[in-house]
Amino acid sequence: MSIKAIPICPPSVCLRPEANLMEALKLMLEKQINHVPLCDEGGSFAGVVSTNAVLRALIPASARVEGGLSDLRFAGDAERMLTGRLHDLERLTVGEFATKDIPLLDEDCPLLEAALLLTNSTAPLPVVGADGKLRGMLSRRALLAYLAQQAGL
Amino acid sequence: MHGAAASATQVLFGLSPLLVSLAIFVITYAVIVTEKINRAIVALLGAGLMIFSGVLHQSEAFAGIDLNTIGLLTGMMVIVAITQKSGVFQYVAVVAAKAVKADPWGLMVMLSVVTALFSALLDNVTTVLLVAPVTLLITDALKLKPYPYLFALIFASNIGGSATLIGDPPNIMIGSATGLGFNDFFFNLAPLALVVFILTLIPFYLIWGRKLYAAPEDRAQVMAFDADQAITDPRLLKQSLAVIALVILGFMLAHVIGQEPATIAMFGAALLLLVRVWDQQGEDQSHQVQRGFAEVEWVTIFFFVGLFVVVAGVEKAGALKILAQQLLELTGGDFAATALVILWVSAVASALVDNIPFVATLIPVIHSMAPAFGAENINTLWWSLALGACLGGNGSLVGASANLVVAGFAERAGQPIRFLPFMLMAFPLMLASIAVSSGYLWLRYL
Repeated sequence: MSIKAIPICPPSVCLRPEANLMEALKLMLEKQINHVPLCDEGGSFAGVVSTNAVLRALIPASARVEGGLSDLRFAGDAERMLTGRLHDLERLTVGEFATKDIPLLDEDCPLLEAALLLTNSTAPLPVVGADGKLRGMLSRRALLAYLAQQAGL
Repeated sequence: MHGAAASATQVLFGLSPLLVSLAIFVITYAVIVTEKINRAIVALLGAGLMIFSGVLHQSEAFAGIDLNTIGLLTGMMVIVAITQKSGVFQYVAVVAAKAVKADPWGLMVMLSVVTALFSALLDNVTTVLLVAPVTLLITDALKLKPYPYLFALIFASNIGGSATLIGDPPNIMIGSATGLGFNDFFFNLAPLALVVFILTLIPFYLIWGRKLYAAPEDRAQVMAFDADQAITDPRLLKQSLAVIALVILGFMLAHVIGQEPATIAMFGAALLLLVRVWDQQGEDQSHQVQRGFAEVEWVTIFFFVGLFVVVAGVEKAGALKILAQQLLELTGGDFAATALVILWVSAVASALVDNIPFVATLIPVIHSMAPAFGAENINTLWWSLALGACLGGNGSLVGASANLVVAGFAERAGQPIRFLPFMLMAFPLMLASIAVSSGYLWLRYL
């Protein structure tokens, strides 16, 4: 029994690395998801962009980077700065803010192994076929829903 | 002690100690300049070779390590590492920005003043490490290009650092090697540092200051910053400011109480650690102490250790005496000419390579000139070396560690400072500051 049996978030929800962050944000708000996978022209996995990455782009660079400010309480609400920077998202590509540093699940990954990897991950994990193409994203909720169904709950 | 056995050591294969030590010295410095391998590793390897090859006995190598410099640097690093957590640097920067109503040129002056003052009392690297992020935040809010501000930050930190014994590593080394104290440095160098600082602001104004503009609504945003909120730990702030005040008082009174700077700095560090862990138990206490020590820049410390040994090697072999003699021949034994040559050569050398190895080498060279000029006059040569090495650091991005720290941060924040454009402006400005220093030395000492 592998994760093949679980209905996963389809690869149609997928962006190119050169798409802009605004597109990613709109997609995530519309679909009520926190993570969108990226795939290149051939459909191969090219990273994951998250709501966290969008939020990071809104934070001033002086606090975002290593060695930057670790406390911004003194800068006040700065709502104007934050909303103003939202418009800059169109000039940033998702590729710049995506992470590739997450474990990939192959289609034949056993359920137990997938459960362990998801436990240790903060995000849903990309499922990749033997051809390297993205099949979709497996979330904790999808895995639990499948298990609950199997248990007859 | 087995130090007496030292002079009996044989140099490998019966080679001349002078040639062997010079070869190790030149190779070590050449590899440091390439910056391909971490400088601490290179210096320690060079130090090891000096001992393995028989130029130095281990005990002589140890004797060459200036523990006063090491102790002062380490002690101050511990104090600053603990103090910075209080948020005091952000607080001062925000207060300074609001004091000039977030006016772009006023902001540049104020951030430069803050940087210069902190650099005079603490080390430059820490100062810019803490001021650069706030600077970037404020310029970001004002929609201003950060480059002119970061440029001013670099100059302010090197000029401020030249003003005191503890401001810049070259001064720490010179003070330690000569016994010149905090007050000596302050009264001889601070007046010039102030003049150079003010004069440097003029080109900054002409090139950038007069053209800078920030929209009223963006300035209002900076005026809405709440400096008090920057203080993340008021208790820590009080403790660390009290200890820093005590340590600086200790430096000023060092001669009166007959103590060396390293003792004062280390004692201050231990005192600050004590008040930090006062109400903590077992594991919390050791965590706190561990964090305090972990933030010491050990790479810099080990670099110093290795370098001191390498220089001790060439010094023992007699190479530095020969260099001193040649320098004297070059200037015809004229005192004023010697002082000016030291100033200008130090400045150009410090702009192009790390000033720490340069100063470590020149200290014994100047020491050996004392018989020629008399112990009274020799102090002027120390001021030449200090000014050249500290102000020279402004000449290029690699001239001082603080410059590289600012450049590194700017790069990560997507505002890279390029080597050549920086140097095209910085080098002439640095030469101008050295010209002013020459006039100062001439009028006051020569």
